[in-house]
Amino acid sequence: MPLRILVIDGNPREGREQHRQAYGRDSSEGYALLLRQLDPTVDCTIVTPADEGSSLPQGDDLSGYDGAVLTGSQLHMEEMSPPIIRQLDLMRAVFKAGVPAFGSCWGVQVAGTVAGGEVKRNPNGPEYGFARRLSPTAEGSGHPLLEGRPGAYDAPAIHLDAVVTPPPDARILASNGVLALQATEIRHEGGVFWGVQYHPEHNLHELAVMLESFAHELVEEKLVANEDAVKTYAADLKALHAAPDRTDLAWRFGIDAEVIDPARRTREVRNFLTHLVRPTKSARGRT
Amino acid sequence: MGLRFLVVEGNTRTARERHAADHGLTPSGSYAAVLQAIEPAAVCDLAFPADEGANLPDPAGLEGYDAVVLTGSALNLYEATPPILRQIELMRAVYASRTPAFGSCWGVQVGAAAAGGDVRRNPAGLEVGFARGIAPTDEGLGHPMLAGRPRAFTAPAVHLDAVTTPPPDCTVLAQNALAPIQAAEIRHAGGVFWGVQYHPEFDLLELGAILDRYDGPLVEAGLCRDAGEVRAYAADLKALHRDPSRTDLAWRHGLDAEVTDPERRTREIRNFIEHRVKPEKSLRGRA
Repeated sequence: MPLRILVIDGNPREGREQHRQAYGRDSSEGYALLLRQLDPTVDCTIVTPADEGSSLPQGDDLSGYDGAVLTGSQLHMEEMSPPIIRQLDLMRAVFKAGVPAFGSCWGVQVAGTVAGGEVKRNPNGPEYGFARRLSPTAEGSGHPLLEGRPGAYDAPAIHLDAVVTPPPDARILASNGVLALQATEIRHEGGVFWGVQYHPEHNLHELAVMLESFAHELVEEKLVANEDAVKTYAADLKALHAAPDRTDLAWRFGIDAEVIDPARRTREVRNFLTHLVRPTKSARGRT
Repeated sequence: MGLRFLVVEGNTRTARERHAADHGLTPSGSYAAVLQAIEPAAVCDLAFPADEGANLPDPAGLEGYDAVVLTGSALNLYEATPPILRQIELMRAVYASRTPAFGSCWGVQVGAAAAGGDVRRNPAGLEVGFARGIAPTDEGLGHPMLAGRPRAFTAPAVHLDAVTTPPPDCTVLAQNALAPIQAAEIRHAGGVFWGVQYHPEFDLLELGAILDRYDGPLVEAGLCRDAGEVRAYAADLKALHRDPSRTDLAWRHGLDAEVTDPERRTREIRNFIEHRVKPEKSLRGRA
């Protein structure tokens, strides 16, 4: 049975354009590609609620989707501009329609805000490159979102903001030393959302391109001595993407198959389709 | 009165002199310095059971110590040469004396072998530099040896061999993708041993010196492409040791305070002293 997935791009037009120039596709197109790789029956519809006057599904149209997926974004929740408010409204409608939803990075921040949590700049600092030493909580180690993840793992990550106060109905499923809410399940208004602050959808090449675009910030945060060091780091990531058997690069970065093997890296997205979208579709009698 | 430690050197004379030439201290001398940094009043005697005719304490002598600490070693346990057999013999006597014992790397391998476990070349490959993604088991989460460690951490590590079959009365306290036994409590013949496969006693300077020495195996294993890369990596570690505020080096190598802060890095040793050695000493004092 085909799965109808609504992919919600978190970026305004110029952010999507920058993304497209850097990788050849924007965040939602990248997500759609991944979803179809994970399940060839997936049929994606992309919407761009950050744009004023963009056409968005409502009511029965929304209930017709089997799942919704929220991408990352360059936006900052604290600005609460109309492009952000439109996304919060759409997420609220997704919860109410009972459409299972998944989001990474900005996506988890949107769902967290709608459900009553607080998003702001992480007082423990940004994560650029990898979220290190993620570990499932007691609740998370048995949760289907993290099925297959080991007791400790790394994941691609780029964020300054985070859900610093979880919403009342959030279960925290994974944490690390920088942030408590790294993976979560949020139940709100009859809907279920699974999300991660990291980016299981980004491969090492995309991550490298993103880091290059943040070269200035990396220098400011003193994570690199200069912008050339970002270029070197990014070039190594691209080389590892091109040749995943480069054990020398994996060793130097201190990363393993949880990051390098695409099937393991995208685990949460696959688990969402398998353990939330499919069963919900069956339960709704839409087979 | 200060604590009395017996520090058991795991290396032959040649190997420990090589270490002293690279690092300034033998492994046992360096371990004694770590113990004295934690407990300034501690008295450390060194024993060299790998040496033929070494002067080793008899059972009464062992009981006179408050704790026994076993260092790492360049030896491979399955070679079962006399320098190795003498160490296993001594460890059996330590168990029988009921003196609290702790060991890192080779130390945990000797602790396991003396209690009936098996040690072999690690089938998962060598772990040199850092043991990444170490996660306490359910038993480990509440165990005093790991008190203060987060649910996922990184630690200095250098090993080819590992405990491949645990002894009968062994509780595994932590593991990672490369070693199912990274931390363990072993009970045998009335004695209790705590051990770790990693090296909480190594600061980044000592680790850097060891990596320099292992350039051959590192290149052979494909973890570096040439000796120059080994030297560059080791130089980064030494620079981070000299200046722990170098966030660029910590970021590049994916390290946090669990490695760069000496107090956190030596957690298991501190916990051994606080939760095993001191309580046992006061019990014995009352008896």
